Formats: sequence, structure tokens, C-alpha cells
Amino acid sequence: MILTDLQIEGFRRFASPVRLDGLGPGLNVLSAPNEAGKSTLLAALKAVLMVRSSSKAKPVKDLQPYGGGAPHVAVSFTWKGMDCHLEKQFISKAFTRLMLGAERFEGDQAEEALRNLLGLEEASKGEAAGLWSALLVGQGESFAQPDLNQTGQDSLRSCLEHGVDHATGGAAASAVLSRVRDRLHLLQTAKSGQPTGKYKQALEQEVQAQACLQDLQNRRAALEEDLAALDQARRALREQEDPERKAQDEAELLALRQLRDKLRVADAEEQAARAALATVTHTRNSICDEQERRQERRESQRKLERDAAEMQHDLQALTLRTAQARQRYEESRTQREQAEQQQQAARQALLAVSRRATVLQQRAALDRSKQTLHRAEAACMRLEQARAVLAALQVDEGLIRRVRKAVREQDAAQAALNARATRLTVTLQPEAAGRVLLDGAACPQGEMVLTQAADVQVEGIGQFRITPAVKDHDEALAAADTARQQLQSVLHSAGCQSAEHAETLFEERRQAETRVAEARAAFVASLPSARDERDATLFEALATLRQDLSDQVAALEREQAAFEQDCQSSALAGAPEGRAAQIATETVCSPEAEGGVQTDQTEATLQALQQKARQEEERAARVADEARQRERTEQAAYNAAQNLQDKAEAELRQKQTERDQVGRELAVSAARESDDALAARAAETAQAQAQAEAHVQALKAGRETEQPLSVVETRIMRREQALENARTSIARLREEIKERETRVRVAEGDGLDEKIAEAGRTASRLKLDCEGYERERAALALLDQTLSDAEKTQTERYLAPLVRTLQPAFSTVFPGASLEMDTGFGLCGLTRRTAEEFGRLSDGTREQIAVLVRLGFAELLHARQSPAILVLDDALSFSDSQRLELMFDVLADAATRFQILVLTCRAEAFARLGGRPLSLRPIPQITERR
Amino acid sequence: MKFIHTSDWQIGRTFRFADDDTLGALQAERLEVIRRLGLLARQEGAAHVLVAGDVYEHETPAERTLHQPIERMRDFADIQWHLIPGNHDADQPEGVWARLARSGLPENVTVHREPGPILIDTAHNAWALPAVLKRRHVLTDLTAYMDEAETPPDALRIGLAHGSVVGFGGEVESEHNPVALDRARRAGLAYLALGDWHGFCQIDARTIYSGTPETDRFTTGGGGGGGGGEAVVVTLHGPRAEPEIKRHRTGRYTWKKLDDVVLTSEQDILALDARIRSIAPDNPGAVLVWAAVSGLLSVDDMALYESNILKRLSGAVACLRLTGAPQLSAGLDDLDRFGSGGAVRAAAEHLLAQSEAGGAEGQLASEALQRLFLFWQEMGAQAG
Repeated sequence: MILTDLQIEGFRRFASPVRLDGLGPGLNVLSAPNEAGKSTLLAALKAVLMVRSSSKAKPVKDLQPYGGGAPHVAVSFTWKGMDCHLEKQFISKAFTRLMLGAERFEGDQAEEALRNLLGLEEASKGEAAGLWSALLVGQGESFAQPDLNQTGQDSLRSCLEHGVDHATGGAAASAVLSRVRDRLHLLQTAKSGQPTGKYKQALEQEVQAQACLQDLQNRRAALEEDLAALDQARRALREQEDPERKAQDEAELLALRQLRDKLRVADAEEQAARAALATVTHTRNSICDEQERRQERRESQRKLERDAAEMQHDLQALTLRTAQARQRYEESRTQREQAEQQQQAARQALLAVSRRATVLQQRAALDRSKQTLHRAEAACMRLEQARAVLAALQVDEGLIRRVRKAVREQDAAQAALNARATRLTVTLQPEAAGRVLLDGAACPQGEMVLTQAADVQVEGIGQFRITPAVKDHDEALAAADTARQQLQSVLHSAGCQSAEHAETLFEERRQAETRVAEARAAFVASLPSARDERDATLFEALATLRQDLSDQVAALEREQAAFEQDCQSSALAGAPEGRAAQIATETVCSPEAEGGVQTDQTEATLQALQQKARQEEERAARVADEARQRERTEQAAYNAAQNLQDKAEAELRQKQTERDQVGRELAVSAARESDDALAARAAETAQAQAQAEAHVQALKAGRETEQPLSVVETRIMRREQALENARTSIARLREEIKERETRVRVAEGDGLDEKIAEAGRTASRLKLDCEGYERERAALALLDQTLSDAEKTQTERYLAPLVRTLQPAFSTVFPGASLEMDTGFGLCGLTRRTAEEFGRLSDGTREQIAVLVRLGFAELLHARQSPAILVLDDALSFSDSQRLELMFDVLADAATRFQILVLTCRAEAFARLGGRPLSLRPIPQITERR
Repeated sequence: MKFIHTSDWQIGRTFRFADDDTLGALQAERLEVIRRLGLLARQEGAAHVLVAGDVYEHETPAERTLHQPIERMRDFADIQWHLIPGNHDADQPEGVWARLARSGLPENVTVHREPGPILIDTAHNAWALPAVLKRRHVLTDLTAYMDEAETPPDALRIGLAHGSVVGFGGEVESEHNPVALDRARRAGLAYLALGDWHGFCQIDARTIYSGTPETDRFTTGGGGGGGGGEAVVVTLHGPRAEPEIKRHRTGRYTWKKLDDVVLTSEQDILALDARIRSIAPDNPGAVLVWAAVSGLLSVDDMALYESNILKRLSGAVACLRLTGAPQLSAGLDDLDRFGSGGAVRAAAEHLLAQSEAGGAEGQLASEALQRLFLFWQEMGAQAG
């Protein structure tokens, strides 16, 4: 099908007629700016192809121009080699005219012919629908995949079935499926599959019926219980109300009461007799007790006396033992005191020896101090001598420096004078010696320097005066003099005759200084306690040394004196015995300052003595310890003996007191009632008791056959209680019977059994109904599922050609991509490297895919030799230039098979598409074909 | 002396299998039969009707149910009705009979609530000896007293009891409400009218179960004997003369049980149809049938079964109770009606395979397939 001409009038902005110029086979492109009427053109095409001219629906009215008018459109096309023409006018004077080659149709006939040609079906209100709505793609529609209605799907399906080997029966399956679902959804909801309608009602009723049945059965059970209880209550009441039984009960009660009264009297009598017996028995018992008590006391008194005598004897023996122990203790104490005295003496002796040794040691130390002091004093003296020598030598460093400076200055002044002086060289003949005089003195030979006018007298010759022509001679001379005088003055102050002398003295002084230093070092070395080497410190140390020495001497003297005094006092104090005393004596008596040899001897002796004294002291200590131990033992023995004695004495006193007490008690008792009187009274009471006992026995024997009172009383109480209970019980039973009867009457009037049977019947019928519904539902659900699955499988089978048709175009735009379509002919996924959902692709990609799918539909129609064109209004606006280029390729290729109209406002971008350029041209009027 | 012997009216009985309409009709007929009994008595010239227990189905019927039979009997003032309690309506302290006694009974209706001889017909010196059930079940033979019960000489002693005779015809002995097999002989009864068994049964010349006057259960027996639907007209010519027994049909409905109906072909279906219709050819509306159906039917035969049996025959009889159903026997040939290919054919093949696998799922698949045939047929009918 190829559109060859399109003319419109009275369409929205085109109130006047316009014509689309340039239409032809292949690709047709209308590039026009926005608002040029492209969309109106498409709307007109849609209207003429798909809307009945008689339609008054709103979309049709919307086609009218603003000023009103009748939309009018004429389209020419070729189909299977025929020239065809279609013309429609809407709203007013509506008409349809269709010419298919030689065939000519008007009005409804024309509409029907058109729909058959295009494969359209009535969708709503005069608007047809089918695959064509997917091929005329309005502005903005190209973004989405075509939304096919049932007709469109059927149309596609029929296209596809064409290519499949045998009929798929897809439509038939859909029809059956829809019936199955209609029927199924009477029983279960479409969404959740929950029971609905009659099934639900039956289920609910069944539950209700079961509940009702249960309720009735409960009521039946209650009734049964009421009936049973009623029967029971009636029987109980009959029994309770039996008058014979009641009379018998009362008579029995009366008899019991009489018996009780009799028993009570007898009881009182017996109790009185028992009380009398108890009194007598008590008196008798107390008498017997008294007698026994007295006997016991006497025996106890005798025993106590025996005990006291024995204890007295024992006490005497104990006293003797105590005295012996005391004596032994006294002896051991004396021994201990002696031992301690001896130990004391030994310790004294040891002390004396020790002190002696101390004195000796002190003395040796004193000698060493004396030597040290002596050495220090000698060093000090040598130091003082050296210092005196040094002090005598005045030429010190400063002085010698001054001397040396004066010498140098004098030498310099002399040299300056000499340099300006006149040289006189005299060479005399040996025979002339003595004959030549210079300034009156023999003239020396050799060169001489003349600083002053000199007179040379040559014997025999005369006198020659030589006056040096020296410049500033006088000043030089004066300087030389000054220098000489200064030297002289310095030497004088140093007490030297000459510079050489001064040097000699200086050398002596340096030696003296060396000696002083040596002497000082010696002095320092001689002072063991010098803290530093300052003179003051040194002399202070010397003084300290001296002081220490004198202190030591004094201490030694004091020690000596004290020791001697001790010796004397101990000698005076008594006569210490034994070897200790001897040692002490030896020590003291050894002479003191008897020379070195003796001192050494004494020390050796002293050590021996000390050793001996120590041994002696230890021995004495041991002896003393033993003595003390013995004393303690004896003391303990003595104390123990003493304690025993004290205890025995105390016990004896206790016994005596007890014995006295018993004696007193016996005396008091006897005074109150004599033993004989007591015995007489005992005999009397025994007799009285025997009598009372006999009385009690007699009473008891009389009552042995009687029932116990408590039993009778309990029985009476029980009977009374039973009677009372019977009265209440009767009232209660009557009440209960009345109540139950009422209930039973009410219940039996209801006809519970009948109702139960009826409810059971209803419930079981409903159950059967439900089971039937469930079977029906299950079968339908299975059928639904099976049919759906089969349809899906079939659809998938016949979708294959569609995919095959779409694939080449897709591969061009999306190289390497494969498609996936759903049963509604939508593309549900695109697999490039991974599967992608359509909804997640970019806008541009989605639009390209949507356009490709429509292209595929057109291809299918074309392949089936149905009329097909594709119109795209402002499509591919989101495509990049590369994709656009690819899409152009695809469109151009498709256009070789069927006509494609592209309406665009992007003239530049679509210039590369090529194709036939279209244009809108106003025309005077629509060319009508009649 | 002539009287009618009947029992087991079971007024108030319900039937689970029946729908509401059928139930109403059946219950109404159980009451209506009282009228027919009264008419029978008048027709036969019998002054007494002896009802051997189980007048009521339930121990506590509703007030209306309680009074319905009494009022029917009241209508026959010329007839004396003698009732005894049965196991269903035992004479308990607050039972049906106590209720009726409280509300008062018509003069022509006597409820025998105490055992012991009662003069019922002075002219014939006829004494009734009722056995009275005070509870639903007793273990003692309540007719035992009849042996010793004293009546005037040459009296007609007519026993009236509800229970099971012991040791008759190899029946399993009932533990409850036993009646000695030879009670009539031992007690010198001219006739022992028994109730409890719903079908007529003659134990000996003088001992008879009348059965229920209106059938209430499906039986396989022919005619209508085993299930009841009869009353007995008894004529006593003297205390020692053998009673004259005449069975009389009183029931309206015919109950029929058909076991093991196997359907495999069109002929089977037509035969079943004919068989049921022939039970009461002139009055199929009074026929109740319970058929246990099985078998395998082809797709067409199944459709025939649906239309002939399930629709038409069901409408023809009072009640068609079916247990089981014939199975669809479809083969690949049958599937050809769905065409040689396509989704419906594929679905049908799938279901057929499933159904052939058997089991519960197979059964379900078979039913689904059956429906698919049905839908297809409907669609074809619409299209055609």
C-alpha cells in the first residue's frame, strides 16, 4: 500500500484545504517547523483510516478547526496495483467514500470494506482498532512500545499463524480460557484465588451450620443433664419427705437425750468419789514423803561425819609434805644466790681485763698521735725556715724585669751614641807602647769609638785633639747618662751592685721558692686531717692535732685513774674468790709505764687473761642458770603442795558446814512433829485411802455396761444436724426440681432432637456442596492452568517469526543484541552482554526499540501481503547522531519494502535520511473523486 | 375381633440425603399415612388400631411435631388408637408421653404407660397386655410379665411390645429390648403385635412385626416389602384360634437401592434410565432411588449420561441419590475434536496424560478434561 495523495480541510489549524505534496513509494520525509501542522496531518490520516465518519465522539469533535466546520479528508493510495481513493467528512454532512480500483463503496459499506482491507475491528464509539494504531505513531507515542488491544494482538497473531505450520488455535484457546475463567471466578477470586460467590457462601453456611449443630448438641447435653438431675432430685425429695422415717428419727433422738441425762448424773457421782480418793491419797503420800526425808537426812549426817574425819587425817599428811617442799625451796634459793654472786664476780673480772686492754690500746694510739704531731711540727718548722730565706731574697720577678729593661735601655742609648761617634783606630808600633797616650792614659790599640773630644798625646810628638763631629751629640750623651743612672737607681733599690749580681740573686730566689714548695708539700703530707692545702687550714689542722693529742692524754689519764680506783675499790670491796679474782688482781697490779717490751708482754698476758676470764664467766653463768632452774622446780613443787593443802582444808570446812546444816534440819523437823506422831498419822491415812478406793471401784463397776457420754452426745448432735439438713435439703430440692422442670419444659418445647437432626442434615448437605464446589474449583483451576500454559507455549512458538522479523533491524542498531518478547507482543528484554529489562533502558534506547518494534509489525503485515505503511511523527528525538544514522539505515532499508512517512521538525538532523521531500501546499479545494 | 396392627411411625424423622423439598414431602407423607391407616380401619371395620411403639422419632420433638399425629388420630373418633412407647420415644419422666399427658389426649387415643392387662374391647372380652419401655434400652424382656398376667377366662389376650425377638432367622441377637421368640405361646396370647423392625416380618402364626406404614429406608429388595410401607389387618376369631392376617399397603413412596451400577456404554445408560422409570411407571414421582454408579464412558456417552440421567431422570423421580460417577474414558481420537494442533489440543493432551497417570491428581485431571470437552461443545454449539 502506497499513499500517493493526502488532502485535508477543516482539520484544526487547517481550516482551508491543504495538500501533502510529493508522496511516493519508499521513504517520505516532511520537514517542517513546530506548529506547521504535522500532527494534524497524522490525526487526519488516523481519522480517515480508523474512525467512522458517523462518529460524534469527543476525539472527533476535537478535530474541528477553531472556528468550527466539518473535517474533511481525502487520501489516494495504490494497493495491489490498483488505484484507490478514500474520502471522509466528519460531524456535518458526514460521508465515507471508498474506491478500490473499479469497486466503489459508500457509507457503512465503505467503512466495512476499509476495515476488511486494513484488518481493523470496531473498538469503541466508531473508532476501529487493530495493528494500525501501532503503525501511525503520533508525537510522543514513539517512546513507549505499542500497547496492543485484543484486536491488535489477534491481528498480529493471525499474521504470525500464517507463518506457522499448522493452526495454533490461539484465538480458540483464548475463548475457552475466558469461559473457564468466567466459570472459575464464580468460585474463586481472580487475584488471590480465595473462595467466592456460592462456594464462599456454602463454606460460610457450613461453618454456621456446624456451629448451630454444636450449639444444639450442647443444649441437648444440658437438657440430658437437667433430666438426670431432675430424676435424682425427685428421688431424693421422696426419700427426705418419708414421714415414717421422720417419726423414727425423732423417737430415736428423744431416747438418746434421756440416756444422756442419766449418764450425766452418774458421771457427777463418780467424779466426786474420785476427788475424795485423790485427796486422801495426796495426804498419805505427803506423810510418807516426810518420813523418807527424815531417814535420808540422818543417813546423810552420818556419812558427812565420816568424811570429815577422813579428810582431817589427809590434811595432816599434806601439811607435812608442804613443809618439806618449802625447805627444799629455801635451799635451792640460797644456792641460786651464791651462783649468781660468783657469776657477778666473774663478770667483774672480765670487765677489768677488758678495761685494762682498752687503756693499753688508748696508750698506743696516743703514741701514734704524738709521732704524727712531731712530724708535722718538724715539717712546719722547715717550711718557716725556707720562707724566711725566701723573704730575705728581694730580687723577685718584677725587680729583675726592671733591671733587665734598664740594661737594655742603657745599651740602646750607648749604641745610639756609638753609632754617631768617631772611630779611632790605633795601631801602634810595639815600641810605641806607652808612648802614646789617649786622654792621659795609655792608648789602647785597635778601634775605638770616640763620643767626646779626646786628646791623644804622642810622646814625642805632641798632643792631638780629636773632636767628634757628632750631631745632637749632647742630647745623645744626656740620654746615655740618664739610662745609666736609671740602671744604677734600679740596682740600688734591689741592693745589687751590678746587673749580673742582680741575676745571681734572682736565681737564688727561684731556688728558695722551690724549697718552700717542697717544705710545704712535706708539711701537708704530715697532716693526716688537712682538708685542703691553704695555709690557714694547714695550721688549723696542726692546732687541731695538738688539741686532740692533749685531749687523748687527758682521757687516758682519766681512764687510768678510774681503772686504778676501780681496782682499789674492788680490792677493798671484799675478797672475790676464785680465779676470777686472781685474774682481776693480776690485771690491776701489772705496772703501767714500764717500757715497750713490758707493754708487749702485758698485752699477750692480757689476751690470755681475757680468754680465761671469758671462760670463767660462761661457766659461772651456766652454774647460775642451773641453780635458777632448780629453784623454779622446787618452788612449783612447793606451791602445788600448798594448793593441795588449801583445797583439803576448804573441803573439810564444807563437809563440816553440811553436817551442821543437816543436824539443824533434823532438829527442826523433830521439834514440829515427832517421829512417832508421824507414824501414827501415816497408818490412819492408809486406812482412809483403802476405803475411798473401794468406793470408786464400786461406782465404776456399776457403769461399765453404760455407753460413754461423749459418744451419746455426738450421736445426738449428728441426729439433730441430719434433721436440720433434711429440712434445708427438702427446700432446696423443691426449688431445684421447680427450676429444672421449667428448663426442661422450655427445652422440650423446642424439639431439640428434631432440630439436631435437621441441623445435622443441613451441615452434611452443605459439606457435600462445599466438596462439590471444591472439586469443581480444582478442576477449573487445573484447566485454567493447563490452558494458560499451553497457550503460552503456543504463543512462544509463533512469536519466533516476529523475533526473526525484528532481529535484522535490531542487529543493525544494537549489534550483537538478542530480543525477548512476551505473549502480549511487547519486547520484555534485550540481551547484549547481559539481560536488560526494557524499563531500565535509557529513554533514547527505549524509543529506538519502540520504533523498531513498530517497524517489525509493519514488516509482518507486509510479508503477509496486507496493506502496511509506517508513519512516525517527531520520532527519534533522543537519539545521538550515531544511533540516528543507524536508524536511518534501517528505515531506508525497510522503505524499500513498504512506504514510510517521517514527519520531523529537525530538518538538519533528518537531512541525512534522504527520501522524498514532502511539503504542505494550500489548494483551492479538495479534489473530489466521484 | 378385628384390628389394625402398625408401628414405627417415626414422626419427625429427617433424611440427610434429601433436599429441603423432598424432605418436606417425605415428612408430610409420614403424617398422611395416619389418615390412610384410619381410613383402612374404617374400610376394614376395625375398631382399634394398635401402634407397637416408636410413634415419634425423637425423645423431645417440637410442640408441633408432638401434636401432629395426635391430631390426625383425633380426626378418627370412631377408632380407638392404642399406643405404647418405643425405644425412640421411651416413657421417661419428662418424655413425650409425660408431655402429652400434661396437655391432655383425645378420648380415642390411649397411651399405655404401665404394663398390665387392660380391657380394650368389652364386647370381645379383649385385653391388651402392653410392654412399656421406660428407657431407650433395657436388657430385660419386658413381655415376661405377660406369662403370669391374669385375665378373665376366654379373654382375647393381645400382646403389644417394642423390641427384637431373640434367636429368629439367624439374626444377630439384639442386646437391647429383647423379646422371647415364643412369648405368644408362653403367655397364651392370641396375638403379639410387635414393633421396631421396619419391614413386615412374621415370626410365627401369632407373632408379627407390621413394619413401618411409610417406607423410610433404601432397600435392595423387590416390591417394597423389606423396607415397610404396610399395615397388618388382624382378625381374631377366638383366644385359641389362629389369627387371620392380611397385609395392606399403606406407603406412598417407593425406596429403591441399586448397587453396583456399571456404565460403559450408551446401552447401559439407557438401561439404567429404563430400570428406574419402571419402578413405578405410572408414578415415578413417588420413587426414591439410590444408585451406586461406576464405569467408564466415552466423551459422547458422558454427555448422554449428563443429560439423560443427571438432568432428566433426576427431575422425573422424587429423589435420585447417586454415589460415585462414571469416569471419562477419552482417547487421543477424542482429542481430535479440538483440532490436530493448537493450544487447546495441547492442553487436552496434557490433561489426558495426567488423568491416565491415575491417583487423586489423575481424577482431577480427568474432571478438568471433561469440562474442557463440555466448554468446547458449548462453544461449538454457539458457533454452529
